[in-house]
Amino acid sequence: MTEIDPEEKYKHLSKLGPIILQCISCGDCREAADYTADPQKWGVCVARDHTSGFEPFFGRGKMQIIRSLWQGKLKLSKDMAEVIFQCPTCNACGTTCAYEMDNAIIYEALRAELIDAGCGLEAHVPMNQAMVELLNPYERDNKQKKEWLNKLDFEAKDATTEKAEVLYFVGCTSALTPEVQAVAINTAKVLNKLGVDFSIFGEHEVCCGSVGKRTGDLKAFNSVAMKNYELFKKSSVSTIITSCAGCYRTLKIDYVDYVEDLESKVLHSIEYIKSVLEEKKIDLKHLGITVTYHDPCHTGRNSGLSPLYEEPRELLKKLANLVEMKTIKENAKCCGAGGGVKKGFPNLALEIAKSRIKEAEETGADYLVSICPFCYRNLSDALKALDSNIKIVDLMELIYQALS
Amino acid sequence: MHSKGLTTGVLGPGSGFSATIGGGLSNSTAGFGSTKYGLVPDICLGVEVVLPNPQGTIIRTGAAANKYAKPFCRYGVAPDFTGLFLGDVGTMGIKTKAFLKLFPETPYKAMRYYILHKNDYNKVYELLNKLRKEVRDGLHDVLVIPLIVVQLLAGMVENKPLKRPRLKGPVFSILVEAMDERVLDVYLEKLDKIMKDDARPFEWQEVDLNATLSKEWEFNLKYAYNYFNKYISVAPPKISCTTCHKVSISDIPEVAKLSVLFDNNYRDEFPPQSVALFATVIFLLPNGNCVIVGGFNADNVDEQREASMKMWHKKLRHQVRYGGVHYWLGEAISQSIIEADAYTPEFLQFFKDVKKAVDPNYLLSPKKFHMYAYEHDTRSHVVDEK
Repeated sequence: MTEIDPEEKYKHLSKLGPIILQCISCGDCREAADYTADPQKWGVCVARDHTSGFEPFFGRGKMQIIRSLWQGKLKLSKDMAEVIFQCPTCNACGTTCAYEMDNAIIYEALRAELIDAGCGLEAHVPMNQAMVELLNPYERDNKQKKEWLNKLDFEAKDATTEKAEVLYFVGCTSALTPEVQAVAINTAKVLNKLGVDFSIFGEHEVCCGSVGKRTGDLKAFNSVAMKNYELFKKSSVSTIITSCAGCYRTLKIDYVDYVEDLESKVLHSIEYIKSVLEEKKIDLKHLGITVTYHDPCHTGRNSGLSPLYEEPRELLKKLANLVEMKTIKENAKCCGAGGGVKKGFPNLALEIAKSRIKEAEETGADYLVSICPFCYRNLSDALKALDSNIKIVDLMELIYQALS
Repeated sequence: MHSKGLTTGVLGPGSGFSATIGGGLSNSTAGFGSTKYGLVPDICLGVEVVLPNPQGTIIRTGAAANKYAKPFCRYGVAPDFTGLFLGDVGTMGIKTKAFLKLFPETPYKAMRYYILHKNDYNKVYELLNKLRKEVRDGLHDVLVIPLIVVQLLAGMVENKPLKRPRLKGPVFSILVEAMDERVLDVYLEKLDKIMKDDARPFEWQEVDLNATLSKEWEFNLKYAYNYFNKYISVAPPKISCTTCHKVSISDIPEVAKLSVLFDNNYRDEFPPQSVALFATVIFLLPNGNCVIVGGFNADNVDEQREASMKMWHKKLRHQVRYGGVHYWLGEAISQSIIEADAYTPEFLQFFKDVKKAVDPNYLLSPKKFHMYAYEHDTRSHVVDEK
């Protein structure tokens, strides 16, 4: 008999109900490969592939840890955190699971338990603290979020004072990372070119809270989520678009209660632009280049019932020759940056990204395209480390060129 | 290999997405393709093994033991030391490489289902025997899914037909393959001829409107690898005590009776609310034997674990004593063979001596076969039962 009442002790895990004990330890989440599937599946867990590969580094081991916690056989510890956080929560394990478990949600609950027990990862503390205090996880003055706007040759509406049909939620990575600012700049340029009435929060934009949610710091997440709720409410926004896959998943899935209350629609910028192009019957010019496409986890496996697999591909096929990588869509390999891995274990994030770059190189494409600034940043680092000839570009940049 | 038109024939067990080649070899598992290609060890030509001795000696077996040869065959270089490391449940060494046979992929495959008019295991044996004699190499896989499982599956589906299906006996699931389409047609004609008096063609759409018709069936690894997982844990969180074992197909009727009798006799000793089934699937193997896939489950809670383990061992000993040979070994099953006193003293001594030669300190998997140390009296674990 166990002495603890797990329902009481593990409040985050207990919220998920009996599914946390559903795992039958079959191990499909280890390295399933299926050449008969469409799309083909070649392996599952990037964390397992680039660590020692022992059980706790892939889904089955994590589920056994949770079962053991539940039965009082294990205690939360810093050592446990060291392993549990070496996972980009890409949810490839959940996708391959015969029981269709949503593993990433369970891992996030386990991380929340670790944080509550004071066993979080040290590297994540300043990041989540900055998210709450400075409103961005990059530990920067939030005023810097308006700097990229100086690179536009038009004035964008200020969402705090002006009404617009669409709110463009830029996200901290595009706004604050110079080498990724092109994502924000090109999104704004495309919106402007298509005559979309849009606004931006600029220096007042608050982090969506994704990093807090993924790394289990739910207090930090709730703090920024509430601030965003107030901001969205004040701006009476009906459509929120974002060019960041992480913000997209957070606003659409994790904010579901808030946005339902606001009656706002959350769309990825690609989804929105595609609908505008179709509505206005605007053709994209073929750029004569060969590209391959990386599916971000947060617009794919982690984005609920309507993953964005076809939308970017349909646009890409109009403006370039698209050649697919070996692993795509729900079976795509993760870039390795998510789930706090880039911050907590940068070398692991880089190694995972390198293998994704190699997969892209195998296609012979000139460009590797993505729709996530965080994937963009991590894949760029890998590209430099490998001295690769392939170039990385955000889809919105190509759309802007194809419209010009 | 698939892109080169090659296959290993048997692709591993029903848990194939999670299975490893080393695990398949160590446990002598059967799996998809085993009706035609045999067990996983049957496709093995040799292994590379690290011995658990103080030197950590690395050896290769089969033709690979000849430093001048490629590992193209298993026998003839020395005694068949490969076999020492197959079905050893990892007790003899750590396999680091395996050399496997490759076969040309067979291009034409077709799936057919038949449901028996009666729930009659004498008939199951007769039909399996006819199939293996008359269709032979055309059979890629033959599974017999018992009536109770078909009924359970019918009860679980989301999209049920309005008309209640007529289910009277087990379902034969037969995958045939051929190198030529005309030969495949001959095999399908033979199937119909063999089955026509005792069964009727069956479609899963009779119980599940979302199921694929057999004429639309296409080979996919999900079919090959995921069919088993859904039977393991019918409702979470459960613990599964699997008792899959091999018997001669002619023994199926008798084994079915013995198994039901055992479950009835010891009903009170099973953990509360556990589900015990004589067989989930009968899987035909070459040479006239088969795997009877089965077991029971219980709630995976501390209070029931001891009762489950006790009952599991008891059932396994029962199967060993009626001549069953287990599908895989692991800790509980290998221990139960010892507990059932299946080995002669001479064999047991030989086993221990060989183990000592490769693993002088008995480091690897000491709990398996109750071989904790060379000096340990393994026979002290024998359980006397009527």
